[in-house]
Amino acid sequence: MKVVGHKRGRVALVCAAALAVLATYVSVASGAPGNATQKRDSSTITFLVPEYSTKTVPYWKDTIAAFEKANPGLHVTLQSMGWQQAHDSTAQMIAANQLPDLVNTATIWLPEWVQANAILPVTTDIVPAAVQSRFVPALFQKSALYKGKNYGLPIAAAARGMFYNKTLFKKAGISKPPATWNELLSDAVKIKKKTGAFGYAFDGKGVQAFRYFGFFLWNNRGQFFTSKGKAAFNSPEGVQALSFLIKLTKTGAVPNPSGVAAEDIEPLFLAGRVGMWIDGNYFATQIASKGQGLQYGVSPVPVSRTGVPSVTWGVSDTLVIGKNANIPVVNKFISFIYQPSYRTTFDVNEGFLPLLAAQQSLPEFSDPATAAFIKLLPQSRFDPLNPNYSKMQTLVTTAMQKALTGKATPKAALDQAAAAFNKLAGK
Amino acid sequence: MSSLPTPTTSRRLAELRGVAPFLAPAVVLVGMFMFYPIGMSVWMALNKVDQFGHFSKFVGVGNFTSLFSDGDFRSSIYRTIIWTAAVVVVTTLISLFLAVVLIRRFRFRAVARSLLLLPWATSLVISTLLWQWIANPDFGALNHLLSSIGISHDRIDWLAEPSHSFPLMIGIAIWASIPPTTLMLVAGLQGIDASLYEAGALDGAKGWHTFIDITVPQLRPVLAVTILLNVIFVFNSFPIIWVLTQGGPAGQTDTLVTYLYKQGFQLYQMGSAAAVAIVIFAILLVFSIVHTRLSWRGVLQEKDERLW
Amino acid sequence: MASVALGGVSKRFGDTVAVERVDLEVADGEFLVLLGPSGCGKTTLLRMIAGLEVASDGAILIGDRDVTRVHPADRDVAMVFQSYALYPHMTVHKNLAYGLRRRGMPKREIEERVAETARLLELEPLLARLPAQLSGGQRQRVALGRAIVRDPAVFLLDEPLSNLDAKLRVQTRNELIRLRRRLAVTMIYVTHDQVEAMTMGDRIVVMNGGRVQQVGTPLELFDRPNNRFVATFLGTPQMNEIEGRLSRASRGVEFVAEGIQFELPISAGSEHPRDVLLGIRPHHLWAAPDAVPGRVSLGRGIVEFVEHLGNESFAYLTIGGGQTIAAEVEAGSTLSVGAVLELTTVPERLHFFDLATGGRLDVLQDVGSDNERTPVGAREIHGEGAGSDGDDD
Repeated sequence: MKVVGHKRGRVALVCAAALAVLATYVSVASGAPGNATQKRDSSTITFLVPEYSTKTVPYWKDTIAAFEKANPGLHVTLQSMGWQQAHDSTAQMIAANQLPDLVNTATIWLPEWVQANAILPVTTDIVPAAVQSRFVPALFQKSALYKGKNYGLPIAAAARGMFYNKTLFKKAGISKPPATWNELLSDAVKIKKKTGAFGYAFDGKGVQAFRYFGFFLWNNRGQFFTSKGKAAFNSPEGVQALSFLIKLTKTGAVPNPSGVAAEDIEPLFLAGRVGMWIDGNYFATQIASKGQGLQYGVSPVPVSRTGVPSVTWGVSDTLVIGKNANIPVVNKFISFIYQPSYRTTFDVNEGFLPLLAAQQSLPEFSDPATAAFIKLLPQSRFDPLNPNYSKMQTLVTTAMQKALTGKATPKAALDQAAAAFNKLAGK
Repeated sequence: MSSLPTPTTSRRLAELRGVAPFLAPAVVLVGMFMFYPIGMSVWMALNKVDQFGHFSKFVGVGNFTSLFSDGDFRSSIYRTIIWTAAVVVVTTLISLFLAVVLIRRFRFRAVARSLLLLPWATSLVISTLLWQWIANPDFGALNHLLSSIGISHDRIDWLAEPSHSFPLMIGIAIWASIPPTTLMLVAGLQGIDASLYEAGALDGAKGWHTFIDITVPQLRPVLAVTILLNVIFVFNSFPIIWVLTQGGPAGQTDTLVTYLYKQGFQLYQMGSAAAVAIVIFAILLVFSIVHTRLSWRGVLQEKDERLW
Repeated sequence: MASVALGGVSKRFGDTVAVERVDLEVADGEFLVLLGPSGCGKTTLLRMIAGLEVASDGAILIGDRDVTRVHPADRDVAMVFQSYALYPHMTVHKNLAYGLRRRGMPKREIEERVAETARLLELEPLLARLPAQLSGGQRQRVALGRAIVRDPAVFLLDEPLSNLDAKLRVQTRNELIRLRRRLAVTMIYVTHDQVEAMTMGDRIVVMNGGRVQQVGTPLELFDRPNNRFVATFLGTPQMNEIEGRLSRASRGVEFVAEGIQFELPISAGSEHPRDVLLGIRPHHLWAAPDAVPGRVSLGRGIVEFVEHLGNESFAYLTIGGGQTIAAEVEAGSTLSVGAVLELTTVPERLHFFDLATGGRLDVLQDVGSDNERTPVGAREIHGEGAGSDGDDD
C-alpha cells in the first residue's frame, strides 16, 4: 500500500502543476491586472503609430533616431500597425493592460479609451506650457476635448471639401460649383448627360460611408447625437439628407454607392470620370502625383438650401498618453517632435494641414488647394466624441445601404438604426 | 485488505497511474487550448460583454433570443448554408475531375500541376484583393473581358448588387478551394491499389465505369475527409466576403462569420458574438456527426472491421 | 476456351528489357506454368497476355485473333492476381457478379452463374461478406471464383498461392488441380515455386533474364535440363556442380576434376577434350561406407553434416578438391561428422554442360537414357547465350 500511496502522491503533484499552469493562463487571458505589469525601464518609452502611408514608419524612425541622438540614454520603441487594425489592436492592448506610453489614435476613439481608464489627460507635466502654446489654438483646444478635459495633442489635421473636375464642368457648361443640394443634383445630371462621366460619387460601402451621409446631415442643420449622447441622426434633417442621396443615386449620375468605397472612387476621380467628390485635403497630394494634370477646384460642401450654414468636416488624429506612461521621457519626446521642422516634414509627407502656428506661413503650405483648405478650417466641425461612435458608424452605414438598396425607407432605416444604437449604448 | 478491488479494476488503475504522467501534458494542453476557450465562449454567450472583455451582466439565453429575432441573422444562416453547399459541391466535382486528369501521365503534367497550385501561392486576402481589382466596374478585367468578347458592354457593378457579388464570391471561393482539394484527391487517387484497376479492366470496365465502380468507392474515405474539411473551412471563410463586400450592402451578403465579426468588432457585443460562435459550432458539430455517420458507414469495415 | 500463341514478344521499359523475343504456343485446354526467379519476366509476359502491358514487339494471339493491341476488357481472359485485387467495397457476391454485369449479362443468368461458382468453391456462406471479413484462403477462393464465373477463353494466374501459409497452399494447390480438370480450360500460371510448377503444369516454361530457357513437361525439365540454369533451378536440394575436364580415355571418356576421376563407357565424340561442368542431383548420388559394384565412383568424401527430411536424408560432404557436395544417404542413418563415405552414381544420371555457355552437352546419348524422344522445347531452345541458334528448324 505504501508504494501505491507514493504513486498517488506523484499523480497529485502532476495534477497540481497542471492546475497551476491553467490558472496562470486563465488570469493572463482574462487580463487580470497585476499579472501583466510591464517591465518598467526608466529610460525607454513605447510609441504606437498607425500607417498613414508608406512614408509614416520611415519618418518616425528618422525622427526617433534624431531624438535619441539629441537625448543620449533615452530610447523610443516604435510599434506600427495598419489603420484597419488600429482600433482593435489598441482595444486588445488595453484589455491586456499593455497600452504603450504614446499612441497615435483616431480622435473619435478617445471616449472609449477614456472610459476604459486607459489614457491620461494632458497636464503641464506631460506637455510643457511652452509646447502647448505652439499649436493653432482652435486645434489644440477643440479636437480632443471630452467631458471637459483635454485627452491628447493633435497629431494630424485635415479638412474636407468638395473636389470638382473643372474640365468636366466646362464641358457640361457649368460655370461654378454647386452651393445647394438642388444645384448639386442638376449639375450632376448635366455632367452625366453631357460628358458620360459620373456627376457625383460617394462611398456607400467602406469605413467612411457614414460620413457621406453626415456631410448632408450637417449641412441640413442635423446632428449625429443629442447632447445626452443619444441617436439624433434619424431626425427629419437626417431623413431629408438620406432621401436626397437616394434621389441623387436614382438619377444614374452616381456610381452605385453599394459597390464603391472611397478607395474605389479616388482613382475614378483621378481618371477624370467623376465630376464631384468630397474628400480630405490629403487627396490633393494624390492628384498632384497621379492626376496627370487634372484641372480641379475645391469648394465647400453644398447645403440643403440657401441660408443653412456650411459645415466642413475637420479631421484630427490625436496623440494620447497611456496611463502607465513614463512621464519624464514622454515629456521630452513630445517637446522634440512638436518642432515646426519635424511637423512640416510629416504634414508634407502625408498631406496634412499645419498644426503649429509657426508653420502656417511656410512655403510648403502656400499652394492654392492647401490654402483653400486652410481657409475652410474655421468652419470645420470635428467628429463628435461619443463612446459609442464606432457603433454609430456601423449602424448608419447599414441604414444607408438598406435605404439605398430599397430594403427600407430612409425613415424606417434610420429609425431602426437609432433604436439599435440607443439600445447598444444603453440609453 | 478485504475491500481489494477486482483484479481487472486494480490492474486498470495501476495502468492509469503508470501512464498519468505521460498523459498529463496532453491533457493540460488540450484543456488549455480547447476546453478553456470553449467554456469561456459559452460563458461569454450567456453574458453581456464589452470590447475590453468586461462581463457586465448575466443575460442567460438573452443573446440567443435577440439573435434569432433578428431577420438579418436568420438570413445569414440560410445564406451561409447556400454558400457552403455551393462552394463545396462545385469544388469537389471540379477537383475530382482535375485530380483524375492530373494523375495521368501526359506532357507538361508538372506544369499543369504547378499552375493548379498557383491560387494557393498567395494568401487568400491578397488574392481576394486581386479579385477586387478584377471585378472593379471601371478598370477591372472582368468587365473588360465581357465587353471584348461581346457578352455585355454594360458597366456591371459586380460588388454592388448581392445578386452579382454573392455568386462572384462563391466562384472565388471555389477557385481558392480547388488547389488543396485537388491535392488531397490526387493523394487519395495515388493511394488506390493499381491492381484494382487491372482487375476492373479484365472484368470489362472501361472509362466511366472504372471511375464510378472503382475510383469513387475507393476514394470515398478521402472524399469524405475533403468534404468535411472544406465544409468547415468554407463555412467559416472570412476573407473573401470581408474584403469584397464586408457582408453588405446592409448585410445582404453576410454569412455567419461576417455577422459574428460585426457583432463583436463593430458593435462590440462580445456576448452576442460568442452566441453566434456557439451557433456556428453547433451547426458544424451536427453536420460533422451526420456526415461522419453517413459517409464512413462501411468504410472502416472495408479496411478492417476490428477497428470498430 | 482457346489456344494462345506468342510470336517474338518483347517488352522493354526504357532501357531495361523485361521480356525478350518470346515464342510460345499454349494448346487449348493446356495448363502451362511460367516458372522462374523473381524478375525473370514471367509476370510481365502474363500481363502482356492479359493486356495490362502492351508488348513492345511481337504478336499475341488468343484463338485465331490477334489481340496484341486489344483492351484487356475485350480479350476474354480472366486473371487471378497475387494480391487477389478483390474490390474492397463490394461483397463477395458483387465481386463475382461484377465482370458479368459489365458484360451486360441478364440479371437472372448472373445470379445462376454466381450461385454455381459459389457452390463449386464453397463460397455460399460468404456471399454477403466484404473481402476484409474473409480469411486469406477465402479471399483466394473469391479471386478464383471471380475468374471462373466469367467462363473466359483463357485463365491467367499470377502467383495465386504465394500469400497463403504452407498448409493452405498445398490444399489450395490440390483444389486448383481438381478444379482445372473439371473446367478443362486453358490456364497460364505464373509461379516461382518449382513444386507448384512440377505438380500442376502440363508443361513448364522456365524463364530467366527475360528469356525462355526451356519449355517442356515437368519430367523433361527435370531429367534433361537444357542448360545449367534450368538444371540448378529445378530440384531440391540443388544439383551439385563440379567443374572438370572431359577427355578421351581407353574405354570411352574420362572425367577429371580435382580429386575426382572416373571413366564412362561411351564412345567419345569429336570435341574432346573440353572443359565441362558436371551436374549430379543429390538424389542420384549415393554416399555409403562401401562402394556399390557396377556404379561409377566419384571417390570419397568426409561428412560435414547430415540433413534429415524424414523419408530421405542427405549428407553434405567435402570431396577431394575441397568442394562440398550433397548426396543421398540411407534415410535416418546415424552418421557422425567426419565419417568417410564412398560416393557413387549411375552414368545415365549425369549431366554435362559446356563450361563456357552453360548449354547441355549430350555426352551420354548412347548410354541409354530413359528419354525416348528429345523434347520439343529442348530442340527449339538452347541454353543461355545460345538462344539464336535454335531458330533454324
